[in-house]
Amino acid sequence: MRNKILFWAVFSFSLFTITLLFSLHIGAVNFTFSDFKGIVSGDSSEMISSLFWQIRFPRIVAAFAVGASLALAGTIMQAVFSNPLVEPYTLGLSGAASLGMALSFLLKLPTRFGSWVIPTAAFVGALPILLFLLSLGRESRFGMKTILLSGVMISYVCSSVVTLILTATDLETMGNIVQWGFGSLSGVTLTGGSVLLIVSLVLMVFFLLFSLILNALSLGEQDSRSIGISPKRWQIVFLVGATILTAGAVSVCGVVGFVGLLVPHILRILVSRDNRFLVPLSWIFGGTVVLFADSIGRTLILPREIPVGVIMGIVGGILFFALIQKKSRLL
Amino acid sequence: MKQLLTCTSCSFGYDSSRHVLNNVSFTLNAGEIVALLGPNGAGKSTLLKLLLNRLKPNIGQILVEGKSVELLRTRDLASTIGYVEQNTPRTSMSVIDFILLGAVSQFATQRFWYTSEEKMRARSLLEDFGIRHLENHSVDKISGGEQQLVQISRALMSSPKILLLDEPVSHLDIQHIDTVIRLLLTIAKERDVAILATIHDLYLASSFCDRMLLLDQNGALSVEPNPYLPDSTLMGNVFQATFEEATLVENNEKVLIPRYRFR
Repeated sequence: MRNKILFWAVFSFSLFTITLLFSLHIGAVNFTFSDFKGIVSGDSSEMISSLFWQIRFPRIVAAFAVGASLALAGTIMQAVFSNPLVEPYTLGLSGAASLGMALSFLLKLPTRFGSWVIPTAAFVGALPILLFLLSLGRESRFGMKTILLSGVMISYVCSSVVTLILTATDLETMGNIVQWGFGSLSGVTLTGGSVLLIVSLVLMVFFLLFSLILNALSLGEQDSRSIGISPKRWQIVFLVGATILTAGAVSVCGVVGFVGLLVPHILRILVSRDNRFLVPLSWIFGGTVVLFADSIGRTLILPREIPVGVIMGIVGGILFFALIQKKSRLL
Repeated sequence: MKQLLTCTSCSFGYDSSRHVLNNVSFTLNAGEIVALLGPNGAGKSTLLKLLLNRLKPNIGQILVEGKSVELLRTRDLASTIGYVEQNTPRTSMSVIDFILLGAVSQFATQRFWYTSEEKMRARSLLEDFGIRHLENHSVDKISGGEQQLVQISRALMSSPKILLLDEPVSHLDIQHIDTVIRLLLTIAKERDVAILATIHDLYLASSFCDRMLLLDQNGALSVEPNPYLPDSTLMGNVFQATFEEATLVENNEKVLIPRYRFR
């Protein structure tokens, strides 16, 4: 056990470091080692310096924070519902959060009250879905098939309403919504990414501390009670946490699907089903995966960019399909 | 003898038109093993759920160590009453992790690791049941009987004062039934634990229990004070079947067996 923890701690950190260095280096302008030396010592040109501090660095922070948040949210939701196919995107949580955000743009709330309105609107948008999920519980009269289908329907309805808002709004609002709608990290701010990074780190530590309770919850409501865990109360705690992470990620870069599906699933195969491993590893691997996907997305077809949401949508969507084929008997 | 659990005049129905349990009263004392028998659908599992506060009686009261069960927190209830369900949840968790979860209700402060003492206790339970070799197997990959042993081990992890078991030996072979019953007897006598187990096998029940509680189809409870040789008329009324006394050749012991006539 101790060796396993050490191995995965070293491996995940090494993978993250390599991806970080790759991501720092590659882009529309490839930074060299001497560029970094100049940036750190303050000797670099103003263009290189501002390119790094205003564009590359905030984007890296945001990419990692978004990936870490979504993968962690996916891990939590999968344990609470004891189903490997649920995550913020497939349950419609991301879609509802983006609708909340689009509505806030329509009402010009961020211009009037400041940018903190955006994550709040995303959370408020996701709230009805959270309440819906809580009302279902794990052993509801609805099967998982129904819950997943409801998620697809919720996502569809939300994206239709966002499109409706787009047709009825002015060009500026349209620009704001479209930028978020694609799941793109271009134009992110350091503040948004850093706040999300800190929130996700704090929640990760919290979830890790309570990961044995998460393990108990994954056995179902009756069994949790036998162990001494009050299932309803803990379901609320964990799902509220997952919703905060989802809303935060959506407010930074819009809908990025399947991160919460892909990362925990791979970790479960490679490492363990124990949430004491899954919680910290999904945080660091989720961040690393999105960081890597975004680095590819912003360099593959230069001078254009492929939004990270599109890359994750294609890769994750194929995996989701493969998973359904494999797990259909469980649904 | 110390009374650990008291059920007084409890009635319960899933709907208002029919009561599953009717005016049920009994006590469980420290150190005794009580068997709960009755035909299918008589309400044995329902009664256990009432004792665990998962269902609330329409009338009546349940006291655990003198306190109303409804006032106990889930955590306190779990550390006082160990419960072994009829069915094991489908999980790919390893056997040792599954058993260790039984210690969570005993944690003084929240943590995400187990102490070496807790791990040793879990391994010694596996040893007692003869399934130490299954420690790292997935729960859903072992047999139904082994799953029952794993469930009992988990219930014992919190060192409960009361143990409720729903058909604990229904999936076990003769050798494992012997192991489980011997262990339950040891737990009851040495640790003063009160044990209530639903059971279908009348002969098995009479071979180890101190008292027998009988639930009939109408949800009425009667107590058979002599578990070694239950009254055939009483048993006949409860099960709506015919029972007869038989004598064992080995020691002339009299036992009550149901009369089956297929040939």
